[in-house]
Amino acid sequence: MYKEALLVSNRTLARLKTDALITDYALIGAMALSIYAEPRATADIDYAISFSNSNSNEIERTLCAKISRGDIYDPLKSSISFHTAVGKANALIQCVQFHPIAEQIAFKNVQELSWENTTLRVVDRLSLILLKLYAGSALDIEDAAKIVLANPLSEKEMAYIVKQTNALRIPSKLKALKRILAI
Amino acid sequence: MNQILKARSKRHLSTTELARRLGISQSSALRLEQSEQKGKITIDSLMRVAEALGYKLEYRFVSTLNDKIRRTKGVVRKRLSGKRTSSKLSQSLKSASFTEALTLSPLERLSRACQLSDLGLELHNVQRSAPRFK
Repeated sequence: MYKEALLVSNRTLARLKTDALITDYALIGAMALSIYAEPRATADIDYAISFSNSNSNEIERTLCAKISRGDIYDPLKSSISFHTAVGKANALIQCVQFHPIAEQIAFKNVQELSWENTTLRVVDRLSLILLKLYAGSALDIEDAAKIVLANPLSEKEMAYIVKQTNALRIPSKLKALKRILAI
Repeated sequence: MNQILKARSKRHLSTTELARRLGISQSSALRLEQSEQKGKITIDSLMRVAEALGYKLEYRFVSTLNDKIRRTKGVVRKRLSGKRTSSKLSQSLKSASFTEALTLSPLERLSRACQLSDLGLELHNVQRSAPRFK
């Protein structure tokens, strides 16, 4: 079911991008994690999306869902959840809009993967590590650790992670990651 | 290894008695034990020895990968709650995630994540529909 949901949701967002309702989108969360590290189960499919406020109403109409805006303390600028029907089941799709710095990181180097006649847009490995640290829960930091261990960071990559965690104001999360990795 | 010797000792049997039960000479029984210790015994011989000693031979593959991943998750959670030394955690994580990363391609892993999520959803539905007793 999740495979179909992933393909359907990816197609839906690709259509929104073609119609210029959203600027960009990319798979994040546990599904993106499975591309770079050990796969795990998830209850929803997460995407990072970027859009202009002027398209909010049209996006809500197309997806039949309401956009929730975060307050200034919220790490997310806004989010939108909708369900994709696959047979009798429904999969929850969560699209999040990040604040500018995190958004820049998310879409800096999006990977395109051909899968089942569909082009999946997925955040790159370093961006996923940073977004996991930005999300900051214990599970997210564990996920970030798994990505690093599946493919260790070079010195240059580590320097980039340090720089971006400072820009995101989450050096404590990087410290937690380093503690786990014992580096 | 050493399974024949262990089983024979448990049954308090000598090699002579084992040889008698197998219908072979004592030196052949000894050779059987030695070849098992070296890992050079056939499954057929193992089955015959097991039967002679009153055992059943169980032949199966045990996944080290899933066990390692399960252990890793446990260790990471403990570490996150500050209950484990980092070196042990680091070693455990390295072996598990690396093995997994090397055995499957990225798209195979993505398919596996979908399968795992399907199973999770199925389990969730089963738990929800199960009768509740007070």
